Amino acid sequence: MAATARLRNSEINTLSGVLLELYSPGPTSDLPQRLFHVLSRCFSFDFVAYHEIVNNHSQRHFIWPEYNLDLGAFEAYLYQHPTWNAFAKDRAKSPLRISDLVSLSRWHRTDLYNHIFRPRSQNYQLAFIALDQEPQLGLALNRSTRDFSDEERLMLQILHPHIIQGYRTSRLFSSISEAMATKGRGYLIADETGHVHFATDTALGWLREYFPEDQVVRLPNLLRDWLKSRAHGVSADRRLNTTLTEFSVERRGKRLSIQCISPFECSEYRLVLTEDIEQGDASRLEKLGLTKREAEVLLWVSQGKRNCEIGTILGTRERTIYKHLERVFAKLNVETRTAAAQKAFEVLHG
Amino acid sequence: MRLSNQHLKAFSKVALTLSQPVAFDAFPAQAIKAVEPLIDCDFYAFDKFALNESRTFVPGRTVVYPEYRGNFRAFEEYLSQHPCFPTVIAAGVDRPVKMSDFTSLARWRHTELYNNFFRSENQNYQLVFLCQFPKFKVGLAFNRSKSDFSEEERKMAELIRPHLAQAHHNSQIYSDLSEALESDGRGFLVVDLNGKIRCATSNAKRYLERYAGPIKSQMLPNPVRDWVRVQSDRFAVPEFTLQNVLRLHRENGRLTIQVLTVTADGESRLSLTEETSPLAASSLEGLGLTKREAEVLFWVTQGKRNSEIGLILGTKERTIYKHLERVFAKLNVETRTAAANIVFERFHKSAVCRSR
Repeated sequence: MAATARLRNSEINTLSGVLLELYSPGPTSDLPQRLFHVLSRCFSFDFVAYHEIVNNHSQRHFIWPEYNLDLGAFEAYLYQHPTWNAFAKDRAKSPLRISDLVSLSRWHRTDLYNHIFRPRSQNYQLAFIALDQEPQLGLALNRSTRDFSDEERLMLQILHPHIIQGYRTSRLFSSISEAMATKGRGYLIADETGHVHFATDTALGWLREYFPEDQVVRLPNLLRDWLKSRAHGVSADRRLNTTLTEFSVERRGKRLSIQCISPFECSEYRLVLTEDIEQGDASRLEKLGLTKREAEVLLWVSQGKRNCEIGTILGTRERTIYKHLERVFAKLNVETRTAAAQKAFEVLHG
Repeated sequence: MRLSNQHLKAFSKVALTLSQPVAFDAFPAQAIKAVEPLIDCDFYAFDKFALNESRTFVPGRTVVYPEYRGNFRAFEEYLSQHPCFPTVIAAGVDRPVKMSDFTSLARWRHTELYNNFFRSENQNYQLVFLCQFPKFKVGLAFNRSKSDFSEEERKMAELIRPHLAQAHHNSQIYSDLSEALESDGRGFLVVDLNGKIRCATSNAKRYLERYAGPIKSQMLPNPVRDWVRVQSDRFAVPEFTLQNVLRLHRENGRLTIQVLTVTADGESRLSLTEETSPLAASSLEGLGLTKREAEVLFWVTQGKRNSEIGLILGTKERTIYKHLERVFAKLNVETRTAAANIVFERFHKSAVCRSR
């Protein structure tokens, strides 16, 4: 059967193209969407169903295009599904058509067909799920006219491990991106025209927040000018607080620092974004339960300043600073300024 | 010419291997490992060319498998004699080419490039492709002594070329992300419900092996695995907070493992922090202090008052005061917090500030 099926070179080229699409490092949330696009390049079908089970835990189902599926009826009659039984009970290891297992007339007599598939006369199906793989990803392609060919079966067989791997790869990139977000960092890659090829969600969010007047899929203009000027070895715009290695922009008392980590001669910009917390951001210390003023005082204490110096900086008397500090000590449950400074240090650098 | 199913399966396998993100440094080896089952030859070479100041492409990175005992300097010197040079380097053509497309075997053997580099292993035939980017080129060269490469092999090389380019790009992203993640010395780990490691940064691997034992078949070492399982079960409980950490101790260090989040399908993301703590007083002698001064400064960093330090060290408060005067002078500071800050800054990355 499948042994005689062969793919034409054009089909192999299509396959190669969709693998590239599958392995682009997009987030897991985009995967079903990308997958549908991939499948529509490889097969013609009326409907495709995607089913995802990870660690027997969460499940995602998608049918594309939209299909008003009566999930209750589907589950109730699932035991009549020829291919599902072959995968679940007989552990079939390769994709199957319904017609590989039962005749069309018998398929038409099942409750499953009559309740679920008949309204759109979905006579033919090609499906696969590998229940011994992790994650378990199931795909079912449906058509009303013309059964699926051996070549299409072969195509799905070859594609399937890549769909699982594509899931794993995008999962990996999602995990790392989220972990970076918990540390207040983002990352993105853009080309010389400013087109963004890959970005963590945090990075995109910051671009929107700090450059509200620019569109998102491209790098903001100010940033691009800086990246270009870097190549010529000049520090860009005087209005901006930039150096050759770091670009920073402030907005509403917060500060975003952007570092370009690709070498000058590289045709891509690889950027690490950090929302700056080390530039003595007193507001971060308010987390400790301090008022704005107390946080400012603590910040200067952590910089090793004396009370009289802090008084000068903040424009108040030393005695006031002393009073503020008393409350800071009580709130932080410490007795010395060094212990308080250490707590501040943990918040700012921890 | 139509590719056989065998070729198709081999290609699929190459794409699958290439799709697994690896650190950028490990990429050449991974690329060669991936294509090995596809095209059989004596030597596989991963090549990268970069644009230099005078805007010409020069070899940036070459990795050959198996190890090649040739004079690589001669390779660079005579590279322009390579029969494929005008096409793949100068003209920037990206489809795979064979040396025999451009020259005869006899003429190839007359070149200095052959005699100074390829001759030692008798490499008569080559199939090569480079993926062309504006400022660099990256590709693979296949080398054989016996038979020339077939059109089928050329077709296979053509098929994998874009996948190599994409995998190279992904590996760059993967490395950048891991590096940004680890820049403060932290490790990061993703494990599934069964304690199998899905992703581990190099710090995380090092810490686990140092504190919990070897990682076998991608499974978390045992004490950690059990703990993670308990955490991920408890994670479903609404009032559960993520304050809970696992601490593993060693001679002069401590590993702190914290669950960052657990996803709905039971995947746990962990952060690993190593502290070489408590900061030994002796390490402060590196600041130019005597043993006693270092001890005093150590207790200052722990937030102790002079009177308390006196009790700890069994001397009078006045002596501590005198010691500190000298410490301040040596560190060129005027307050105890400033002195403690110097210690924090110097040793923060590895230690101190998180010891509670």
